[in-house]
Amino acid sequence: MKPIAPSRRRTRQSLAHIFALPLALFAASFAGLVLGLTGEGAPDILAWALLSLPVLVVAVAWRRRGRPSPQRKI
Amino acid sequence: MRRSTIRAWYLVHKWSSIVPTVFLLMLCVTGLPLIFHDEIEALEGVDYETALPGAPSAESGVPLDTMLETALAERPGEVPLFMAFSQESPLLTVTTGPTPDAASEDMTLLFFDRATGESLGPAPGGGVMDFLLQLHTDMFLGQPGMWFLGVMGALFVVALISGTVLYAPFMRRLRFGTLRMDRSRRVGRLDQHNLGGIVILAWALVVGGTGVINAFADPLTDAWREGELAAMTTEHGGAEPVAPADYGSLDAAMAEAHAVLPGRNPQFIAFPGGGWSTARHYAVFFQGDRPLTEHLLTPALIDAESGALVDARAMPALNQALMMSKPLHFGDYGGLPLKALWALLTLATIWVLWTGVLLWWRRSPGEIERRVAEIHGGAEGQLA
Repeated sequence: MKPIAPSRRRTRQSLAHIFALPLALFAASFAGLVLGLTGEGAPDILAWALLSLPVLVVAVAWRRRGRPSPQRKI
Repeated sequence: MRRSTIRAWYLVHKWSSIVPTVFLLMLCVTGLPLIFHDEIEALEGVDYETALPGAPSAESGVPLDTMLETALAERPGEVPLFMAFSQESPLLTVTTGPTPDAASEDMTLLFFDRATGESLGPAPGGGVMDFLLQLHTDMFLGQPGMWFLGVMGALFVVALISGTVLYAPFMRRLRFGTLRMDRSRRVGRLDQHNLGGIVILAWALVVGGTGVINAFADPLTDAWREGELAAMTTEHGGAEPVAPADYGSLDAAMAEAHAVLPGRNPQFIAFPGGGWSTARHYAVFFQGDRPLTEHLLTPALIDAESGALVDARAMPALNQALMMSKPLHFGDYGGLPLKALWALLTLATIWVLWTGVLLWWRRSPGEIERRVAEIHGGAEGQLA
């Protein structure tokens, strides 16, 4: 089985690092919400693409979730 | 962040989320089918917006005075309250009531085909969608119910913000997207709660915030009527009431209004004496002419007796915010794919709320101090 990459870091991440992806998602969702209001056609398609990002992120994270493993020693 | 600061934010988050949770779950669960109410209603009955052929009623059709006569003939003894237009089909609706200031329970909504002048009967009502809408907006408790839910929505916004504040110290040593489902159930739930929350944040703030604004819609409209609208009429010679028997021609009023707002389409007309006009004026509400501005309404006040235009002025910023809040809350402005995404994000919200409930429900004594310590120290990641 592939070893799971360590998600613990000894050094603390900066605030900027912690919020980088959340902020990008926030901006993308918000842009999607507002763009959809501005017209039919292309703005709508852009809105769908941007607003589907949060959903995709959750799907990816769920696939990568740490699963209970019977061989874990710790 | 100091431990005492974290403790304070932790308590804010805990209480601002526990109090509204059961109501937020109700709002999410009732909201889910409401997102698709157009589609569901089209399945149940006739969808007039797509079925009727002809020019949109906002642009042309049988004269408005004729339509009004037909409507009043169906409801003898009643007076007109509103007339609303469609931008897509000849569907025209007329709302009547026993008096100009009738309560909404006493109003009757009638459907007409403006292309042919025919009556289509009373608006289809009752049914599951109406029940869900009532439950969602005021839990069948009228104004106080609406305001209560508005307060719950405001607490939701506080919970979202305080949760985001706690996210920072907690995630100091965790990679974004980590879901430690291989540790204890609590840790797995906590990671799901945090990821869900941070990912839906923008959408949840918008839907929650617009929900709060919509809950206070009636007081906002009242404030506009008693402030701006009253000022518009006193500037132009006072507001002695006009009796329904003396109402002048609607078509003439519409022509007057069009003269000052050319190229714009009307969304609805509010008759004298109700919540959206004065005691003596027709208030013709025009939409903006671009997709973004079509949600913003500009009223034109026309003297109901003389037919003279009084004024046409955009509504104050707060009321404009109210008008933009409707599409942003319903998610019905971007076609079916947007509604599908709205539904997925609502499910994600339920997930965040539910994991929150479980985290609180399965707590043990001394929990607060341990949680504060965990956030202060930053969550531990799993080791390879």
